[in-house]
Amino acid sequence: MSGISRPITIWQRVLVYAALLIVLASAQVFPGQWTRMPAPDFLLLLPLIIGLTRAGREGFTMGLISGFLRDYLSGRLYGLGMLEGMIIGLLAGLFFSENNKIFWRRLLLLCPGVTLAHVSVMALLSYLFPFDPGLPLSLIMILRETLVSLPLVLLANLFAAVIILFFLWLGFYQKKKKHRQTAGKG
Amino acid sequence: MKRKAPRIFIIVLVTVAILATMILTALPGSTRTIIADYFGRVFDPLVSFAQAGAKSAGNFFSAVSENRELKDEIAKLEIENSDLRQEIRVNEEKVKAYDELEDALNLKSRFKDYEIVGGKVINRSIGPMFDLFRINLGREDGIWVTSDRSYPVLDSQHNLVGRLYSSELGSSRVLPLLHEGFSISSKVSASAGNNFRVRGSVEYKNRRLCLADQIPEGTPVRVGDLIVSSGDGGLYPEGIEIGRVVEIINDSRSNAMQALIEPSSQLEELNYIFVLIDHALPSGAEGK
Repeated sequence: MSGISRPITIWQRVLVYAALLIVLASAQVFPGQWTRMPAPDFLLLLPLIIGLTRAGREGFTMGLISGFLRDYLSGRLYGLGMLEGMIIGLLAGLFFSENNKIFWRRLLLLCPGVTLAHVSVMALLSYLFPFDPGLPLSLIMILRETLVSLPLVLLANLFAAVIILFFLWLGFYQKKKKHRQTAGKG
Repeated sequence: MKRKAPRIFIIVLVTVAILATMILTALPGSTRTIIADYFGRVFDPLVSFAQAGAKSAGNFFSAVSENRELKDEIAKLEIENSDLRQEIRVNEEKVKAYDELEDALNLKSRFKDYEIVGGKVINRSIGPMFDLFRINLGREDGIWVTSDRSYPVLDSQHNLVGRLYSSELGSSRVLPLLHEGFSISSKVSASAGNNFRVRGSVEYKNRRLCLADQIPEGTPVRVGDLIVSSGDGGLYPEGIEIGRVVEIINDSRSNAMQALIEPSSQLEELNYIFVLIDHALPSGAEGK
């Protein structure tokens, strides 16, 4: 995206991303919060939005890091979040465009798309790899419960996307260059 | 602006490494703690700091907005009032923590054969497959979770919260009572025998309810009954409060009875928890 593509040094970038990760991860998993509605999934959407706005290796790397955070904070095992984050970051990088119109269109498509894919895959995995195989578990029930909460999850994640974009705009805002009209007169 | 995408070779290498990590950390007695031990040392204080910062900022802004009305009327008292309110808020937190500790002392006298360690919730769960929450007690506090050893987790009112799933150096992950992978042998309070199972259920999780099943025929379960742990299985001591029966489900075909239990613990609003450590249990990896 042209507005938030300011090239900055690697250390400045690391600082911006580290602050972003700590603030957003803390907000997402704050104990006692988000009791009435689902929490915005910042760690899921971070690689997507960074991939869409910055492309290249940044989406890929941020996918790995935010995925590791997911695994560390509340995962059943290490690696699942990282793999998911990496794939999202790579895919988002493929959809990178400097054209603002195309960017917004893709963001609006990919945000719900990624949320839907994430929710379905995780529901399926929690059925295929149950915590305690001795306890009864029904796939239909899992899918039904997932679908019931889906609209609110989608809404929360759209909100998360807006917040992430705002933070990225703060960190990488680039002023538009003024082009002087140099066409010769006479 | 042309940006370099990661090379295929790197992507393949990273994918293989991740898959290996997944397999290794899914095995019992795995390397998961080693990875998290070092990371937790740096990350946990950062998250706690960020959360404490957010809390103080919230307190500050709410104090300011509450004082706005008074500002027009009593300009002189504004600053003093704001400071006092801020102080009250801080003290309220302290009183809350004190109450929790006082309750923990009662807890200690009730489960005298157990060592009780108090801790704080670091983070809540995220969603399916990322459904555990983390507390700030770990192996440093004498908690060694292994594949055959876990610990009950209670709130300050002696109610069951869940059990520990894994322990790292400075933190542990908790499997909550409402989780579909959680189960406990239980009974109706003040009744002898007739144990049954209480477990988390996907179907009732969103309603914040657990399911009691495998209820033996003739067990006198009624709406409003208090359900407690039976003490069978060795992990949970007898008499821990689980919740109250809110609904009885009778399956006419199988003639089986089930019951919906509303947990006594306010799982979503937990800040402080207590872990019961039974030193009589085989120590497993302890001390290694």
